[in-house]
Amino acid sequence: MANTYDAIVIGSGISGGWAAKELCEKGLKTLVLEKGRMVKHITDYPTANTDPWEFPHRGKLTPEEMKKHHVQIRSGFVGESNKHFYANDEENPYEEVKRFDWIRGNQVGGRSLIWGKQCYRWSDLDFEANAKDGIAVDWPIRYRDIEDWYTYVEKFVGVSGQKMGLPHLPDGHYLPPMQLNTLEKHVKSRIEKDFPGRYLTIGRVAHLTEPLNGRGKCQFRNRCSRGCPFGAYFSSNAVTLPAAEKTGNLTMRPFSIVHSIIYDDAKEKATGVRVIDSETNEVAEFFAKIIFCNASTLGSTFILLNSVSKRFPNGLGNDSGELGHNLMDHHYRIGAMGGYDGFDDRYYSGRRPNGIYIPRYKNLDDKTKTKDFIRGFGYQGSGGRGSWSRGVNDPGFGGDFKDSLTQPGGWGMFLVGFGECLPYHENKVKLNKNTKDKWGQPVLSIDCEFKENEMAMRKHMAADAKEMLEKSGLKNVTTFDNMGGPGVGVHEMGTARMGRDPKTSVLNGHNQIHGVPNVFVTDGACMTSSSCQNPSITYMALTARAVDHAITEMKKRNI
Amino acid sequence: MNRRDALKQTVLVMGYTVSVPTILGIFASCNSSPALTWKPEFFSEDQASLISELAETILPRTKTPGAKDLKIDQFIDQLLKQVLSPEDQNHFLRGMDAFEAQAKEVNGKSFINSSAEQRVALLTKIEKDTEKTPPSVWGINMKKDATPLPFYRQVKDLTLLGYFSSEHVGKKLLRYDPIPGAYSEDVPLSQVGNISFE
Repeated sequence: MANTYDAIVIGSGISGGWAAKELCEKGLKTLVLEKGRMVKHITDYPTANTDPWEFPHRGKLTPEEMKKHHVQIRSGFVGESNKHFYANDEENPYEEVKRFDWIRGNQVGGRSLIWGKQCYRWSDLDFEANAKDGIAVDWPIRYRDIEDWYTYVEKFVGVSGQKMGLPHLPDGHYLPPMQLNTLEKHVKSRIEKDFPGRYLTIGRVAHLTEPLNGRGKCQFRNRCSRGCPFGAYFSSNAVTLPAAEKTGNLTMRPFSIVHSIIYDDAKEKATGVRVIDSETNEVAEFFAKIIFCNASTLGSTFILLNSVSKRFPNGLGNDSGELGHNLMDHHYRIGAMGGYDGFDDRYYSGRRPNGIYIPRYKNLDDKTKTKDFIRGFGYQGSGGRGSWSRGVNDPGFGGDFKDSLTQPGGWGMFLVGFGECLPYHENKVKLNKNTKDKWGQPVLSIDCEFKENEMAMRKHMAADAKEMLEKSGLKNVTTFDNMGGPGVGVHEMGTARMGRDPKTSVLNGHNQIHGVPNVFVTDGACMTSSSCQNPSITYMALTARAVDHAITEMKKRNI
Repeated sequence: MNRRDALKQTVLVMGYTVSVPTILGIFASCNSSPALTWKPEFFSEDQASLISELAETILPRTKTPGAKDLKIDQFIDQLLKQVLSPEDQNHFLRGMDAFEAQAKEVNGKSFINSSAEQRVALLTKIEKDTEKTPPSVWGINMKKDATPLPFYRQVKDLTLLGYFSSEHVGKKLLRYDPIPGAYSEDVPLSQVGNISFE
């Protein structure tokens, strides 16, 4: 039959790239459908080597560009150098019942081109949390189920970091860590002395500090979000998709908006995918034995909600009614900053695309329990010396002032908290069929908010950051808080959660849809709780694990 | 760098470094509005002259080029035209009118026609009174409901941006290291020298 493959992967971002690689390497002819345009490694990174003066607007966006990216700019990350990797909001509308900052990368590689690259293993502190607190549903997996898969993906991704021996932040397979600078080392020593149980380490990041599989090591340019011509950070474009392509089993189809997954009521399984060509508007169907849905948390859930059949009138796999519910994101953009008098003769060179990490230290056990909130938070941040831009606020002008700005300013440091968000049933998305996009698709309606537990946690996040910096001897320490809407953490999770019971969850412990075992969802949609740690490395491990399970089940002729 | 130089550096980096004699030297001979040598596209000629003199007062020519040498006035003219919304353009121009009104009130004449001492005195006061840019982390504004910057802070912001992101400054005055290759986490300041261009 025409348009038939062994496997179809919907989406080419962090998890879709992994699904493609694993499926192709297992010998399956695999079609990857990508909503957006092609982005080829290196050749499609137009600004990777552009110097500041070569940007006509020195990094700023024009009013037309701001309009085109009017949601994306809420992230604070979009500028002249990387705007081409952020979604066109005018063409991709959605409804905000409450403010929700949906940050998207519609292209081959998805947001793997622009992600933060922090890689922290989750632990049983996370996987047991719902069961212990008696909220939502229990994760169907524990750390031991995923441990080897973390190692498997870390070895191929290339994660640099420092082992710490903490049970709640399991050590992984790491390349040599990047280094803390002078002030960061000082703050580390003070925090670890004054706050027993709190630790500061260099961020664990998907940047190579040694060459790996033909990829170059990090050159410390810190131009990552423009695409790395050295392939030094992990992206689908630089790492998994080339590996998939090498097998000869990959077919990549950009400009392919997935309308729905086709469910055959007679065969009682999914048979393929219905696609709208975004350039010609033509509808095409593709068929395969197994389907991996990796269109991003809300992208995948949109497709499932839009995939209706006699058997599943409310969306594919939605027997539980939980599809679209339990949306989460990390809450952040809160913390403290201050200056430091001293180390005037110390400096650093190179632009390190990484900062520090302070792992969670609250609610680990009875000793660290607080009555104010459940779960916890960690901090990212960094220390450094001021650049010329300090001159904008420093009170001064004139010749000496000008010449002084060619020298580094004083030292300063900031800490930004990243907090866990609970899975609330009422934080949800659904289809709004009254509004259609330019391809005639309904739009997603998002109704989500942070609640009391997150707000109580935020008070601690700001106060603790201030206290740690002040105890470390920093001066003029001030707190900040600009939460924005959920979504701005760009760690949106949930809406098709994993669970043990088909009555209360959408996916089983291997990311298969309950009742549709040949469809797997292995992106952020599958998450049952949100931890306070960056989720991408967990998506990767779950994806590799799910493909392994899919192959085993295929061999047993179960799917 | 020895210890005394390091201390001096600390004073400099804290920013209280207005050098009146330097500015006097530059402006001693230009008390009237100098003719523009370029055609503004956003500003009127008078407005462009004001921006030109204001930028040069903030970053004057010393042994290194000043704002005018690097055409920062033209850069501001283009940037305001191309990246500001009509509302923000109006906000800027209203701020400019208020700035001129303040110059006339304090000095009895426009900024351009004020003496060098008067310009410095006025800017020193305005610098102190003007709201600062909000705190930012990773380029993200960390202040809720941030409003457009007041005129003076915006001009200073754009002047510094235009100057320090220019090719001349990036390649000649700062450390041009597009591919550092490594991160050296603790190096004596004297070995590193100037800040990096990026």
